[in-house]
Amino acid sequence: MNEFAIERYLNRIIEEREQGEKEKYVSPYFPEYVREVVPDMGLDERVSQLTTEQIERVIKRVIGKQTARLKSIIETCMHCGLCSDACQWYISNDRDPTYAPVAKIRMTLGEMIKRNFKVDPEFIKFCARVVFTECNICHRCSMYCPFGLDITAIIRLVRRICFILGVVPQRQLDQAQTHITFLNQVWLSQNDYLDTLFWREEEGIYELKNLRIPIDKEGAEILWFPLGAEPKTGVDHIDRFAKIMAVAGVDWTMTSKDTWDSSNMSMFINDYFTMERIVRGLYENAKRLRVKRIVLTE
Amino acid sequence: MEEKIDWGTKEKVIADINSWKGRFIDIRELTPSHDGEKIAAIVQPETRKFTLCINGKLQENLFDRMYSLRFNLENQPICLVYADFQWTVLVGDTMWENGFDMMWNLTLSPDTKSIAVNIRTAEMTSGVCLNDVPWENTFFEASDVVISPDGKRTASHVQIRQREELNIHWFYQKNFTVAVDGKAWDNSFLTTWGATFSSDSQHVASVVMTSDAATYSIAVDGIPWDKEFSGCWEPIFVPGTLDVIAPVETPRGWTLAENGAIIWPYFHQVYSPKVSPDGKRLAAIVVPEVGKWTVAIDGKPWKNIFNQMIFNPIFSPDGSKVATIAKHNNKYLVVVDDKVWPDSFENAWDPVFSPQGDKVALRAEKKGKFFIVANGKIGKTAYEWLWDPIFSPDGSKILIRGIENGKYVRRVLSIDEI
Ligand code: SF4
Ligand code: SF4
Repeated sequence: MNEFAIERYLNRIIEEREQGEKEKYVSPYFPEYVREVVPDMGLDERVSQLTTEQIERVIKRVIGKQTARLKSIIETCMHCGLCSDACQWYISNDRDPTYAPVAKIRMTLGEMIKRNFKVDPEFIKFCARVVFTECNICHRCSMYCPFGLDITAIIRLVRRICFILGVVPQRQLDQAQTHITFLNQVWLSQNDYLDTLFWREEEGIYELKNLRIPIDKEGAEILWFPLGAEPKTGVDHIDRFAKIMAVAGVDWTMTSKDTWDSSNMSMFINDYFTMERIVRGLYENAKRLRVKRIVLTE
Repeated sequence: MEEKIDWGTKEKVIADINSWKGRFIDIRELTPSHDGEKIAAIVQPETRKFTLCINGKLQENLFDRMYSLRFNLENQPICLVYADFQWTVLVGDTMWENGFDMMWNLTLSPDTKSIAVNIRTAEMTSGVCLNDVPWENTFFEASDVVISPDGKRTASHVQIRQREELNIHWFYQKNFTVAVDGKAWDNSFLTTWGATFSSDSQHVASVVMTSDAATYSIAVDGIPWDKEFSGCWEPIFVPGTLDVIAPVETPRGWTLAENGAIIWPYFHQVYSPKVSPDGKRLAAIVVPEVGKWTVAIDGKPWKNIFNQMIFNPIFSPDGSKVATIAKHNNKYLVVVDDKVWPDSFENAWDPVFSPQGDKVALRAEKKGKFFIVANGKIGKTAYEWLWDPIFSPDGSKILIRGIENGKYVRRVLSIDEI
């Protein structure tokens, strides 16, 4: 935990003590699902703008022809519980069955299918809470299932439904939106990005004489794509990378064009086409500059 | 412009680039002129002071920052330069009168007479400056300026409302559109990219995100097609028409649509469509099976399939041939009309057709050296670096611009002499 996280954690404990017992959320659909109320603009406010018809259209669009297959996957489950033991959420919540992987798909997509896609906005909010805040898409449950049922893939479909409907926790939705509009995860404009590269080259010379941050160097050995946060909040990473490349004698470059951010947060909400735009954008830059290799920050 | 090129002199050694290395702290963006007579670079004669070095001679002005060096067809250098906290454009040895907080995306018209650049003003708004005339309107953000074929108009993707930090509702207000000559389209969208002008310079098409965050279409002059898709790549206009073609994703796969109607078979992926100069043939990169790439022409894929990558298809001027570069088993290959040239390379640049379309030449790397490759044959001379070859108007000669033994040389050879 960094110091800010610790501070936040302590503040929360103090707040909770002051408030006494926390307000509880009980799912109107599954009374055994009881959680703390956690206000979030992305879940609470977006949902108010939805209609049942709109939700039905989006669910059909996402799962459409796969409905029978998905239904049979859910029905094939033998409740053996092996997947539950693989899930950190289940284990770390006293084996509460509402955290079990299979419960997560039954309570969300299973219910959508059962109700013939006619679900209300509150139900979407419930689904978003389950798939975004109680599952890390780690895929362990799918690996443990003796029948090979891919639970995570179903959870991801529910995430996609929620994303198209715009019901996603605020931070995650914000990152999805910046990838869509700026092709990076930090809302960094083309001019701010380039300006930062010039600035970092100038700063870098005080630590390594004549440091250079090459931009659009055709035929370079390596094209480096930073993570979005580097030119935004971790700017010194840029000159550090340049220093390493200079000392190692590597012929490298950065690109002046979108897509320069190697992160792909769109993956976490299953925004398929933005995921493709990002990957294609990285390769188009490599093709245009005829570099030999791509290096990404991670 | 070609008539200005000296096609008679076989060989000229223009500058000793190795000797520049001792003179300057660094040498950036080494770039030859179109006629091959000049070689220029952004050089750093003293710490954090930059200027242009052309054929060994330094320009007088020193700048704090410089990038995006290129030559126009008049063989004048053009570069973005920054001094006294202002960016401007240097053309030859003259600077634009207007200066800006930031300039990027230096773009030339096909005849290179017009210069367009994205700009950021001191008020932190963005737009475009065309030939030293800034747009009257600026926007919260502007990106990816494009210039019309006649060089008289510009378009840029723009953000029309101020963003509010972490306000996730803002996105749904549709804050992005295309501005043409500084005027934003009446319609705005969730996002836009890939704007392009029609061949008569009068119309602009762009990818737009329409009703929700998974719905895309193509807008022409701000009006979206009446069809929507789960994905669209950058559109193109058919030369001489107002017809717009774009790759689109449908439940059956990727294909091409013209003015919204499907016109091609379906593939796993389709992108980079190109129309022949006469507007009659259509080529695009297609993915017939996952992890395999090729080119399809008029919907029919080539028989040769490549397992790593394929570059954009390039039509000959008469539209009869298509050439491209493919990467297969870690080697770069040259492919012309579905025939693979015998040699493979470590790197290869876009093929260049002769004006008559009967010859193809390009630069390629083999064993760390660079060669001109023409009509399937590798040239005799190994260079340390090369730029794209240029054919003479009658197609009989090739202008080669390269670095050999640390010197920049310009050669004019026939295909047999290469
Ligand atoms: S993918 Fe989700 S449900 Fe499955 S084990 Fe991981 S966290 Fe649990
Ligand atoms: S491991 Fe498979 S069969 Fe067993 S409970 Fe989980 S999903 Fe059902």
